[in-house]
Amino acid sequence: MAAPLLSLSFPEKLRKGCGQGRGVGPEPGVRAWRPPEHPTYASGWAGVGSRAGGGGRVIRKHTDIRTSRRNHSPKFQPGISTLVKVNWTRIVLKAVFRMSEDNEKVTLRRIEPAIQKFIKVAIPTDLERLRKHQINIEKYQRCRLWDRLHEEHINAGRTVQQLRANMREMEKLCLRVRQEDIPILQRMINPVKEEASFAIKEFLQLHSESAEELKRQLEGQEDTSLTRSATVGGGKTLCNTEGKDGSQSLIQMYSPLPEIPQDENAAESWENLEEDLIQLNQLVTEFSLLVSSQQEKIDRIEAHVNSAAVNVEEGTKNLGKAAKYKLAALPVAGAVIGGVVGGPVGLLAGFKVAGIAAALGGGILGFTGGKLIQRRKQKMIEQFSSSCPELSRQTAKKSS
Amino acid sequence: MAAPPRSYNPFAADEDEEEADGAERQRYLQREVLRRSAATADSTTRSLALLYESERVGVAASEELVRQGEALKRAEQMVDKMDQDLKTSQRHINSIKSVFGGLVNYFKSKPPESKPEPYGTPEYNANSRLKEAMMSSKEQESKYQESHPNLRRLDNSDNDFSRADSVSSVQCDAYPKNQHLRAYHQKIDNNLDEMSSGLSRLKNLALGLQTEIEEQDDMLDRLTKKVETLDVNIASTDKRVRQL
Repeated sequence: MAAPLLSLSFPEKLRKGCGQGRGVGPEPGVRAWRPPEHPTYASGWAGVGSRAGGGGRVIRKHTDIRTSRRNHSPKFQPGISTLVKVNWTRIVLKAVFRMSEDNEKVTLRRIEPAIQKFIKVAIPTDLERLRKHQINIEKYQRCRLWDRLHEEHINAGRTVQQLRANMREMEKLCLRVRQEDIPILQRMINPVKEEASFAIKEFLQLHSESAEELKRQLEGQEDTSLTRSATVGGGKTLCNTEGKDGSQSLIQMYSPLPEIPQDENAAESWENLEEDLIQLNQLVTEFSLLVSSQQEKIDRIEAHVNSAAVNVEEGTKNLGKAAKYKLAALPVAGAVIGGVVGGPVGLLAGFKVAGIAAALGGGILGFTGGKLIQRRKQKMIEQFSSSCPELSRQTAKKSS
Repeated sequence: MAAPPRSYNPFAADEDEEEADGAERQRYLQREVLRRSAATADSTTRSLALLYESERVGVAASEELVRQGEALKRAEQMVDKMDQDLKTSQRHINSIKSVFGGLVNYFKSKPPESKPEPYGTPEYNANSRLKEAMMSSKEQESKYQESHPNLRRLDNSDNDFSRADSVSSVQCDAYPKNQHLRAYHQKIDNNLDEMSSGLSRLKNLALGLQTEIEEQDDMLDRLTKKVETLDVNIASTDKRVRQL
């Protein structure tokens, strides 16, 4: 019973494989995010002989990024630093990919650094590791160290999966390039691609041979291996698929699951997994604690900002009122000035009545002038306060 | 003779020994195998429960996170409004200070008519990926219930019962033992399958949380800057009002 993850069915050609790597890890419901991201993570996760050990690792890596936690050293394989580097490369690629998703096709130059990194770093690293695995497998087979052999198989299987994932990512990135730049890109990538596919083919042949060898060794034992049922089933289906395809399309073949000859290895893998799961649980709990502790701060922030906003609004309103009150002085001032000026003028002219009339006229003139200015200013203030509907409503009430 | 319990081939070791000893050893080893497989099955069940619990906790945390994001967005809006209010009050102060200052305002550009966001609480689109991840995780609520240790006493007792059976019926041929073993294997496989799907959901949740947190991070930075400038503005306005 292959897990849903392992029931990948990639199309034959490498190129086609990129755009359709959907439905790999996540459930059908979770499709919101761009599809290309899933295969890498999922396959980096699924590419293990023992099921979910890598999954814990990948998840741990993600939470690593977010919470910057130091993990204890994983016991999976040597060269974990290169593994980390390769993973980071992939993450950088994903960032580039996310960037380039805005435009449909991008120039070669934008993706060039990422591709270079692929060609120079990621894939050669994987190939190197694969070669080392091959050497180890042969050695162990000769010395008949079955458990080490089995471990090597598992690790090699993982490496192959990673390599494939890298190739797929690269291919996806290539799809993004504009039409005119494609030939140049092809020239850059083809040598690496060929090398990688050749290495994978070689390795798979060797792998299947040695897996057969292993199987024959342990034919006699019936019930002692714990996960025999799963691995036999998985191995059988995989061997069948392999037989069908031959060595045509590499992506379609997936490395046969090595059988686990003894209880110990399964138990050990399981214990690792269990530890990882417990850590994961702790991590999630800590995260939720953090979030809830920040809740209080955010509440305070919001309360403060709220009260500040209310205060500022009130202050502005009051200022508006003050400005208006000040304007009320204008007509009165105008009247006074007019009277003061007009009075002596009239009196000078000599006519008492005319003097009084002049005074009155001057007063009225001044008053209307001031009133005009007041009206204009009020209009201006209303414009200022247009953002406060209550204020404008108030002024409307006042003026009516 | 002194073959370790975890021998590579428990039955092969029996060939060297006498019949009685061999049989005894065989039974012992069979019991060992059964016991260990039972233990592992239990272990997987417990781990599965752990996984579901993690999922639940994660979903709760992400809900809280989304709510906090909304609160932050509201705060940002209010800060923007305050900025505008401050500009308005600045003009009022100018007009109050002097009659001519007020006239000068008339010639200055009109205050920005940019109306702030509509007063209704705007839509806060939490990261859609996070939402979907939460939805799928919420569907696992029932699974969580049934895997919770407190609710699973019945199953455990069943297992113990069957195990006791196999131990007592030592003389039976290997067939029933195989069945038990196969049952255990089946159980472990099922649990492992469920665990893998649970892990994939958790992964999605984590990725969604990652993007959400990134967005909120940016928002927080913006908010901090705005609040700082606002603070300075408020202080200066306050001073000017006092000087009136």
